[in-house]
Amino acid sequence: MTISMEWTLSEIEATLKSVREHERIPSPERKSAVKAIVIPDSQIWIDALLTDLGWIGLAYSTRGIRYLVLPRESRDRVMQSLRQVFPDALDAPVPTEISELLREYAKGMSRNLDLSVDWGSMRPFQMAVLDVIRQIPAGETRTYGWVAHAIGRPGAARAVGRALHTNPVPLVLPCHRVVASDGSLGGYGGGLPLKRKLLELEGALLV
Amino acid sequence: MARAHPKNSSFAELFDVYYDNIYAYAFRRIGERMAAEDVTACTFEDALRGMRRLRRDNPPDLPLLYRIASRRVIDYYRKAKRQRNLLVQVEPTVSNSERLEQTERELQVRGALARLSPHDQELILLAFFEQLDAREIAAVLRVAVGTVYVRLHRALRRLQAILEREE
Repeated sequence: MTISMEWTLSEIEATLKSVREHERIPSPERKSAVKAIVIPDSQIWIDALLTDLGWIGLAYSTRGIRYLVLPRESRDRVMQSLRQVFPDALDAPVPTEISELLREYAKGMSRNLDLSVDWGSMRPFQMAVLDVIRQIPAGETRTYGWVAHAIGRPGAARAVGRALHTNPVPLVLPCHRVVASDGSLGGYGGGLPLKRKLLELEGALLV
Repeated sequence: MARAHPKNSSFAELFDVYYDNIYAYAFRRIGERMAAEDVTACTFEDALRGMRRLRRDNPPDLPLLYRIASRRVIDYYRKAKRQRNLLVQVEPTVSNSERLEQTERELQVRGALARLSPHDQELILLAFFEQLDAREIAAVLRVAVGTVYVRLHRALRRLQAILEREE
């Protein structure tokens, strides 16, 4: 059979489209199996990196940073704390985008840690508190009462204090920017000298 | 074609949304189910590793996934030392008589496609089979949008030349 027809470009395009309509792609039956390989449920990776502030520990998932260990003097101690919280985590180098940003921050070259957070481990109240404190600009501070107000629970300054104290991702979620209403620094899980240092780095306190 | 990009979504959601696209692409280029699944899995693993650009505004998008998949397909052929024959394995489903003439023309086009250079084949695949728009193709191939129009037009011209030689 000889079909002698000219092939115009529009005919070719139309035929390509009908080839696509009539092709048969076998359905991807093993989608969920492949997904389990690629994304193991709640897989956490851990690593420590050296910054100007000391060794910082990170636990992260595909969703973002799950947990951050504030600066310590040795890598071993940081990794030990990480393994205590995440015994099943795998060791994997921190993605360079994250390590670079953290190192710049520790040098005072970058005032904001705009990194995504894995909120998976948090209760809604704590999530609300920590989400609000992200809005405090670097170089400024707010009081516990301000945070309580901002989440619509003006009487809950103490609960706010607890939520901040157990912040699993300090630095990135900047709980150090919340201070006491009398002008003193309040408390900090990493110790007051570190809190002071962070606020100095960000320019909220005069050195 | 506007495509909703699931911004700020987790990687798992991204996987759910784009798996079928990447699998179909891999299957079109390889024509074998297991190998296509393997390429798809590797593509998402690479993307996951790359996504350690965990910054919020940079989730991998579909063009990036196609780009990774394209490299993975090349790896597959390199390792297996197989001949590339894009598209030709994909069987036509219809053979009823009213469509015979149309089917004949489809067969001719598929035959001619297989004789194009790998670059031209990929361009036509992305445009007509994966149905990406010029902006998306430009992102996959890392070229300017204008270049996509020019190259696509040339690829179609070469396809036309092959078809007309065969008449």
